[in-house]
Amino acid sequence: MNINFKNILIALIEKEFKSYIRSINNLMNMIVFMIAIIILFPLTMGPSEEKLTLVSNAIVWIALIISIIPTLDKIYIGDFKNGWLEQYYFSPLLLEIIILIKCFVFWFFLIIPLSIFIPIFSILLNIPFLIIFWNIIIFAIGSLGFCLIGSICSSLTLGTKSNNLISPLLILPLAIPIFIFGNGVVEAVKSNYDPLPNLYLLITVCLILLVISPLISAYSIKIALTR
Amino acid sequence: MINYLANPNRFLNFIKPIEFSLGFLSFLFIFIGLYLSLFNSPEDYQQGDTVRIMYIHVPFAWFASFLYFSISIASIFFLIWKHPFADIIARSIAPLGLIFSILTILTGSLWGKPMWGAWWVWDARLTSMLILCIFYFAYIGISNAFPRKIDGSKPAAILAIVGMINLPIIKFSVDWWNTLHQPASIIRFDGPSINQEMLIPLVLMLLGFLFMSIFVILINIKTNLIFKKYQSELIKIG
Repeated sequence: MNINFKNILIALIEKEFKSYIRSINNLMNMIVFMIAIIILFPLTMGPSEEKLTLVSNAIVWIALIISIIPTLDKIYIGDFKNGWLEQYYFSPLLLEIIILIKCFVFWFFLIIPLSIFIPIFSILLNIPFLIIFWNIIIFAIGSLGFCLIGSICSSLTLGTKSNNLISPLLILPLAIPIFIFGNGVVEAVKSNYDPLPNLYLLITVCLILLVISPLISAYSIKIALTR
Repeated sequence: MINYLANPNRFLNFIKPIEFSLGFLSFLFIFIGLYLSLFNSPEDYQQGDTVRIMYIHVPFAWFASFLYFSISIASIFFLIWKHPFADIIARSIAPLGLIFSILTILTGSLWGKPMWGAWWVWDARLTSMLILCIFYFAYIGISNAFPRKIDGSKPAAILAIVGMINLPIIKFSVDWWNTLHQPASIIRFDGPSINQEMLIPLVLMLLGFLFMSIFVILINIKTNLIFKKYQSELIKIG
C-alpha cells in the first residue's frame, strides 16, 4: 500500500469532481434560479434605464448570492448520510486538510463556473465593462470566503431535522464583511478612487476565514460524528 | 466557588434565599428610576421630552450585548469542561437576550422617527444590533433544531463563540465609522459626558435591569433544570 499525501489528494479531488459532475442538476438549478431573478427585477421595477443603472450591480450580486445559498449548506450532508465523513475522519490525513480540499473543489467546480454568467447578465443590465472586470475579481475572491462560511454552517447543522431554516440565518451575518468590502471596491471604481484598499480588506477577510473555517468545521464534524 | 455552585442541587439551595430579594430590588430600582426619569429629570435642550426614551433604550441595548457575552462565556466553559450546567445557563439566558435586542431595536426606531425622521437607517450601530438579534435567533434555532435537544448544545456553543466577534463591532461602531447614532457618552476615557441629573436615573434603571435580568435568568434556569429532571424520570419509568 502506497499511502502518501499526493495520492490521497488526487483521489480525493477526483472523487469530489466526479460527484459534482454526476449531480450537474445542482448547477443547472442555480443557473435557472439566477436567470429568473435577473428577468424578474426589470419586469417588476419597470424597464426605465435610469432606475436600472442605479441598482444593476446589486441585482447581479443578489442573483448570485441567493442562488448560491441553498447549495451552500449541503457541502457535507451527502457525505454525512452515506458514511464518507467517517472514512475521512479515520483516514491518515487531518480532517482539517480534507475540509479545505473539499471547500476548494466545491468553490472551483460549482461556484467559479457561475462567473461566466456575470458578463452576460451585466450586459443585459447595461453595466460598464470596467465594473464587469472588477465584479469578476471580487466574485472569485469573495465566493471563496462565502464557501468557507458555508462550510462552517453546513457542518454545524449536520443531523438537524430541517436545516433549510437556520442556514441563511447563520450564513448572512457572517458574510456581511464580504458584502461590505466587495461593495466598497465597486463604489470606488464607480467614483474613480483607488479600489485596492477595499480589495485588500476583502482578501484579508478571506484569508482569516481560510484559517478559522477548517478548524471550526472539523470540530463540529467531530461533534456530529460522535453524536 | 464555581465548582461548588456547578452542582444543580447546591445551586438551587444557594439561590433560594436571594431570589426574592433580587426580584424586590429590581422592582424598587426600576420603579424609582422610572419615576425620576419620567417626572424628575431635565428635558434635553435639543430633543425635548423624547430624550426620556433613553432611560429604557440604553439598558436594553447594554444588556442585549452583555447577555450575549455571558452566553459565549458559558459556552466556552461548556466546550472546555463539558459541564452540562453551563449549557443550561447559556440556554436560559438566550430568550431574555433575544427579547432585549428586539426591544432595543423597537425603542430605537421609536426614538429615531422624531429625531432623525426615519424609523430605520442602515447605520453601522443599527446594523450591528440587527445582526446581534439575528445571532440570537440563530442560537435559539440551532439549539432546538436537533431531534434530541442535548445534541444542539455543542453546535449552539460554537455559534455563540463565533458570534462574539460582533460585540466589539457593536461597541466601537460609533467610533470607527461616521454614524447617525450618537457616540458613547457614559463609558469614556474622560468620564461620562452626560448631565448628572440624567445620569442618576439612568444608573438606577441600569441597576434595576441588571437585577431583573438575573432574576429572570434564575427562574429560567430553575425551569430548565426541572424540565431536565422530568425527562430523566420519564426515561427511568420507560
